[in-house]
Amino acid sequence: MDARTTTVQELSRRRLEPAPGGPGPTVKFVIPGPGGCSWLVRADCGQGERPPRDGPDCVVTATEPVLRALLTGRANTLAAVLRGEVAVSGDLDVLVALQRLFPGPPAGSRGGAA
Amino acid sequence: MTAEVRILDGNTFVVSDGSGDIAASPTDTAGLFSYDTRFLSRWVLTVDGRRLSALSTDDMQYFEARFFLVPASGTVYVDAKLSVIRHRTVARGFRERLTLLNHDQNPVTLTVCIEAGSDFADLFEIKDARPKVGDYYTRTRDGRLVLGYERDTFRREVEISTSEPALVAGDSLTFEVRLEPHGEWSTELDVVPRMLRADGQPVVAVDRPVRGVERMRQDLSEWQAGAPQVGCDWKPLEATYGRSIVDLAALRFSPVIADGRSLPAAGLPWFMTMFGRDSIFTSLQALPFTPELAATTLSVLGRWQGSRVDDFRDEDPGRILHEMRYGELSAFEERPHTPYYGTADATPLYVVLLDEYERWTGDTALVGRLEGVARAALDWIDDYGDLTGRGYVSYERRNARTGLENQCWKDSWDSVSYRDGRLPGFPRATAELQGYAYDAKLRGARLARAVWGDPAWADRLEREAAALKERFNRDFWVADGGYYALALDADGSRVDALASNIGHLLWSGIVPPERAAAVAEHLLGPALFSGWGVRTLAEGEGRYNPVGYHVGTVWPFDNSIIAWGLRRYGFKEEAAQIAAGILDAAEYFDGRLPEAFGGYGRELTRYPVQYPTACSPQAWSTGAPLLLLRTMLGLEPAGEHLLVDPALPKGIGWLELRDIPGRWGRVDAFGRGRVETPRAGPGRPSAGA
Repeated sequence: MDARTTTVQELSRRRLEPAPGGPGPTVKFVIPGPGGCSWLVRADCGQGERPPRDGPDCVVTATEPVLRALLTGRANTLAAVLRGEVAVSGDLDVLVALQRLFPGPPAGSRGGAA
Repeated sequence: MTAEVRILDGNTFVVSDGSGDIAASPTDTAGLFSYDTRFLSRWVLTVDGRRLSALSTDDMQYFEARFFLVPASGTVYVDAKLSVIRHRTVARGFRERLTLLNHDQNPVTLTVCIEAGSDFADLFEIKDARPKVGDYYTRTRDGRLVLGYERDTFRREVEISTSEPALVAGDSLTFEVRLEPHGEWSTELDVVPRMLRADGQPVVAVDRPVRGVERMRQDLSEWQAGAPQVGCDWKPLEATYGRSIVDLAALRFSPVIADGRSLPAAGLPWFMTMFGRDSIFTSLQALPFTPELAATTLSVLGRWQGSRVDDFRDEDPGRILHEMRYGELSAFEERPHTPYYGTADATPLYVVLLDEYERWTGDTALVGRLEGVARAALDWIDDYGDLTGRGYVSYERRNARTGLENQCWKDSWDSVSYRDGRLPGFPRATAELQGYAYDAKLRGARLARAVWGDPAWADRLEREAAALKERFNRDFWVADGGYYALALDADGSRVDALASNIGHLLWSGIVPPERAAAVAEHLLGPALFSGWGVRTLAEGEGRYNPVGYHVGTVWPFDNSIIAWGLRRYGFKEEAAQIAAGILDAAEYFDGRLPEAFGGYGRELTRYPVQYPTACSPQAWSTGAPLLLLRTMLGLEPAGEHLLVDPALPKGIGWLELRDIPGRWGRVDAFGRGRVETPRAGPGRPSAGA
């Protein structure tokens, strides 16, 4: 399926190799505003067993284009956070582990901002 | 500007003049900095419109300073009727208690004003004076002064509040103060930098408690008390050790994901960030003293290990990062430091540190958790690290615009050369990288058997290490010189300059015993050994320059690794000679070794000539005396025990190191001086010689 036509939810689930009921942390993605939505992904970030907690381990909030750019490798996570395009709450360690599952920039591109 | 005063906590630091004022031009390095951004470039105190003169400055600890000031009179013969004290501590940003004392018998009314300003420069912009892309703003919020900068969704602010009400107008805070005869007035100024999104919320919602100055003092005391104690009849060594432990405390940096724990940053103040190479080497040097630094270094570098191919960041799967930065240029990807991976040595060195950490601490839980990281790092050595397919780690940047050309520790442009001074093309495979790779494979094999339960993988790693050692000794050996080439060039030909890198080969164990004596002889010979230490490049080489950054200067860090290598091959006296030279030099620098000093012969200058550098202390120079203590005492873990095999330079009559932490609990080590070494200048005492 073409990344441009795939929903960002589907992209996140495919990219993050969800581990249902597994030991990985839960990440909540949020697209804010009218027409926005949120969804949960349990990702296998290689972090091993985690203590149970109420709610997701980490909440990542951004617009649809920014999330899509992260999930397709057209944006770098830390740079996007520093630019203020991505809001993060909860366990930051989870975000650092999670971003390792994101792909590299498409061939021929420099990386670059979303 | 009068003497520069610097205080810091982690990557927040303040650089001011001797009166506490900050009045930076775009190219000046004064200011309040946090997360690689200058949040204040102007902070000027006036009383009745006049600036103040410093009577004295008290650098109390690395995180606090006090400035004693009087109104500028133009002459020293007029007694001041007013004293002003600024007591500044770093906390989030900084806090400043401003106190005015009236020494007159009459009351006075004064206008006290603080003028503030910020250019919000990225550290990388300073000195280039580049125009900013975004817009500045100044606001007043609940009696507080807010200076801000925004560019798209990127926003940075600094908020200044006062305990006494101030008139906030423009970029100034003004107090009308009436002082009774011999009266006193004070206020506290709180300066808080903020990294924000466009909606005014912090970019990262972290609830980190702000440490007060009392907590910081207590933390430093506990740090000093927790480190082993040194006793020695040569008092400068005790002083150098004490200085190193305090400087190591100042160099601690706590990344957000480290849960309050710290790793060593590279240098104070401009390199107060995570560097793969520097953090690993300093952790290695400090392992017998503060092993918790190594644990944090391994955890955090492991978490940020490269996972994809990204040419802009020179990132590959399995690669350990080179440098992390948080400023505007990194945010907008004008610089690649989010993070930048352009280093060829941090990846094998990561495995070396992991093994050395386990040997000292027995912390198999952490080593078990990091198995995946170690596997990916060891895989990197053979795939992404081997650019030519010849079986050697080599480097060539893919980011040609802002990436690093030389991705080894000697990272200046001219550091790798042939004997005649020519520079080789890329990729370059420097010698010490092959030593680190060899050592990483053997240490990985040990951990595979001892901790990860994979003897088949261990066997494979050992076979690969043996093959690497064989081809390295065939391809790098300069037979007519009796040493190893500095590198192989793109064609696989030897880059044949004689350099200090051969000492790192001893440390890594890639040198066969029958060649070790020739290497040691070169290291202590007149071309490389200056009397103070081993030069980065031998005298007589085409590019040799005693004040060239990596082409003739003496680096204390380099020498500490070389001394460790000499000990590994049984050259105790040679190791003691290097320790003696470097520790003698430390005495000239009040116990704080610089990053590098001149490679002039000791008999020529009689004192070590400092190389001008912006950063002091530098982490791996701070770690050098610690590692030299280890090599002098011959400390080596063996199972659950610590072996002690001292070889001290003569002139050090006795040396003891008490409470060395490790898997054995805490033990003491003791040694007496026996090795004859040359002395010059103050040096070590003759007693005990």
